[in-house]
Amino acid sequence: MRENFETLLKEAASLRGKSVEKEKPIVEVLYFRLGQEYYGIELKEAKEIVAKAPVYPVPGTEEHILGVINLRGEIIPLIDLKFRLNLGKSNLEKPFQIIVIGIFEEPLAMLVDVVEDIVEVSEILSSEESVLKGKTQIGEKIVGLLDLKKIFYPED
Amino acid sequence: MMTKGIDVSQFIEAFIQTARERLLKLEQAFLKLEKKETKELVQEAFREAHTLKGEAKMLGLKEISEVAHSLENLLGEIRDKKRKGSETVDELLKKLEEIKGFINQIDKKEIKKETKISQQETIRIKTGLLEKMGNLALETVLNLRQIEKNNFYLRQLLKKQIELKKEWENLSDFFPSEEIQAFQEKLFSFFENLKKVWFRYENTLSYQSPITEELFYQSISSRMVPLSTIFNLYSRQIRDMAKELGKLVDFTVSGGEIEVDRAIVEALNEPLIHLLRNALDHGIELPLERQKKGKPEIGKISLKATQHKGKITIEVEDDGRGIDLNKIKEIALKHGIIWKEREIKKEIPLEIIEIMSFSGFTTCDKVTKFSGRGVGLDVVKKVVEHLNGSWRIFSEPDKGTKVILELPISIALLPSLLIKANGQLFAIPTKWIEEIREIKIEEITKLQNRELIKLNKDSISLLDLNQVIGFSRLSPRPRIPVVILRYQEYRCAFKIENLVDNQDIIIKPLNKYLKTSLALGSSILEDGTVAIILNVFELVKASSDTKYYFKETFKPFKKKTLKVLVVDDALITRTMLKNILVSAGYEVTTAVNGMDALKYLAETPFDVVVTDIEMPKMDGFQLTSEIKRHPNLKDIPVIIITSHETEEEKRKGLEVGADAYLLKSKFSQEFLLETIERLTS
Repeated sequence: MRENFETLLKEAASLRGKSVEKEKPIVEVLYFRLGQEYYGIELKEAKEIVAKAPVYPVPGTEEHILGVINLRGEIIPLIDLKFRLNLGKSNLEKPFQIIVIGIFEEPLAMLVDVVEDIVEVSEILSSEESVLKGKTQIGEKIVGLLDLKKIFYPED
Repeated sequence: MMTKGIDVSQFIEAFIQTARERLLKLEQAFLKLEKKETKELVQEAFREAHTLKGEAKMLGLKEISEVAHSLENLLGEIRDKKRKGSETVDELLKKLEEIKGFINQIDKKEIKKETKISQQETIRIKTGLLEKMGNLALETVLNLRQIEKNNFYLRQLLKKQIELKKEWENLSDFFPSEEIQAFQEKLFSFFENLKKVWFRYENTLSYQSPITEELFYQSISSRMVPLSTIFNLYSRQIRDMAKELGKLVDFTVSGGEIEVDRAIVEALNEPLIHLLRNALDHGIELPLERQKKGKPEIGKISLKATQHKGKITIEVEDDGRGIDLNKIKEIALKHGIIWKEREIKKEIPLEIIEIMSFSGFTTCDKVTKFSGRGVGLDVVKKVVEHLNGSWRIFSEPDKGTKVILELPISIALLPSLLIKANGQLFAIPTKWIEEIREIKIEEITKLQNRELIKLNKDSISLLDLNQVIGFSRLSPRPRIPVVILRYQEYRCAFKIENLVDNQDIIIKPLNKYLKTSLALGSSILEDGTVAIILNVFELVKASSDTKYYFKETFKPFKKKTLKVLVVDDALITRTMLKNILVSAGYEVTTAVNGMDALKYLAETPFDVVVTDIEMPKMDGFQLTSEIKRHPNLKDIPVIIITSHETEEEKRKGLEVGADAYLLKSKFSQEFLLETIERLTS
């Protein structure tokens, strides 16, 4: 019973974002290019990568929302990740790809210039930027790991 | 019954269902226990028995909760090694049989009530699945309509072959030759074959059409439920509330038999609760006051539904004091809202309804337990708009208030006008369209910065739709298509970039993330294009004088709705608590155990946590101590609601830091609400 309780508390602590274990876990990172910079998310956060698709603007929405896309009959909001990260506005006329995020109650999608690769990463450095969980190096590129909750729901 | 104010009978049916599932689980566990006793098995069975007890207690089913309690005791003794599991199994199974007997008794009573309604066999089906199948059926119908349209074109084309044949014959008379003769035969036989294949095609199509239409009607009717599903809940609520407020009221309900789309019925529940509460709390006066006014002591509240041509009308009427417009004006002015003086007869104008529907708006000086907590008309407005309906309020001082909601019966299909703006498709529900026409640029007159056109004898504002929905202005053209929209007494003309088509479309709700009031939903057309459905109410509002005041001036007014996290592994308790809290104006999130609750707490700030004790994964004590130990969470009040009644348990609860400890057996709605209010103020 006592043991059981300990593991529960550990689980509870990790839910609050405190890691009890010291070991560095290996994370699969899906990374992509945005203008001149590289960003990534954990692979398990992504639901699907979609090729350029028609984007339908929705009146009355906030500026960082580009509109909705039709993914096999499901209407999904598409956010302008570049705009959200203060890197300027995305141009829908140019080539782009869409990453559908599956970690929230309803699916949401974000626009990226091009998806680069999926790699395993073990070393994650801390970062000052509030929208990042951390930074990591992949080859010669410095990749910012996005904190999706802060990207999509900054007010919570 | 121990619970007040909320009708528990609605939960009985669900209880029977889940209790049977629990009994089955317990039976399996006991049989396993006979073979091999494990700690987990006993603990799991203990929890099931405990939950069963709690649920039975909440519903006032004393016999069941007592037997479940003795089950729990036996299992507790096995757990604490005071007894051997394998030797207790017979006794445990006997207890299960007892409970089964009680449940069957209740079930028979329930069945008696139900048999009047339906003799048909039913199964449980996930509503999501039902909805998906319904939508697929609709899409099939719409697609078939497109096929039929194409078939019509094909028929026109085939008719042309008769003409062509004649022409050919005339021509071949001029150039008689064997080659031409041979070609003619080939050509004519090709025509014949084409015709044959088409006949066959049209034949199958003619079978398909009625089948698909039937599928359509069946799928629509499978979504229909009678309004009584929600109407029946209110009598008890009104009665208890009237008692509490010391008011006398005669509450009548009619039209409960009308069948409406399940989604509409569900959505209507909350607004109706608010309207009825308003009627009783703010409308109906105390008996003494009524006497002084020369009114009968007993007030009247009626809830009436009627059906007419694919629409339902729901009226909530009371004979109370009516809406005090001076008070509304006073509050509006205090908050910097522009007030236009006007003569008001019985009907409250739309702009005033708008002001009253801002969340936080209340004319009641004293916040009572039941209303005036800043929810109410804003909920009504939101639901009515989203269901594509409309509403009106009539009120006369000391005579009473009448709120009329007009809604569609089915929300599956929406007849719409498709238009283009900035090259993109949008849909306008046709029920709001008064007229579509083309105007010449000379017909437009200018007044200050506004454009007007003459419609019969009236001048109405002319707006640029593209601009209103956020695109750049339309470039001037000599002839412009115009759509005239009407919402109650408000009329407005909109310049349109391009008219496309009239079509019945299937509404797909928009993701909540988009947070827009200008769009009601979306629809996917046959070719996969998405059309956004516009909210006509917002469009028309853009033309009225009140337009932009609201967003900017009303902000400070908005009172924060308190967020409550309800943690309980039993569905019934969870739902009951949620209903109680939602109707008291709280925003409620539910979690199924302590672990789940911590996840929610990590994501969003809550104002209060209400938790059960006995739960899988992490119990209420652990949850409470986790919350109280956490620097960011420790100030959130925690209320424990439980059936553990021993002093020791209570002490333990307070030791881990719970702010209040309520017993299920003494549970009352008022006491819970009072406790929450006390802890959050």
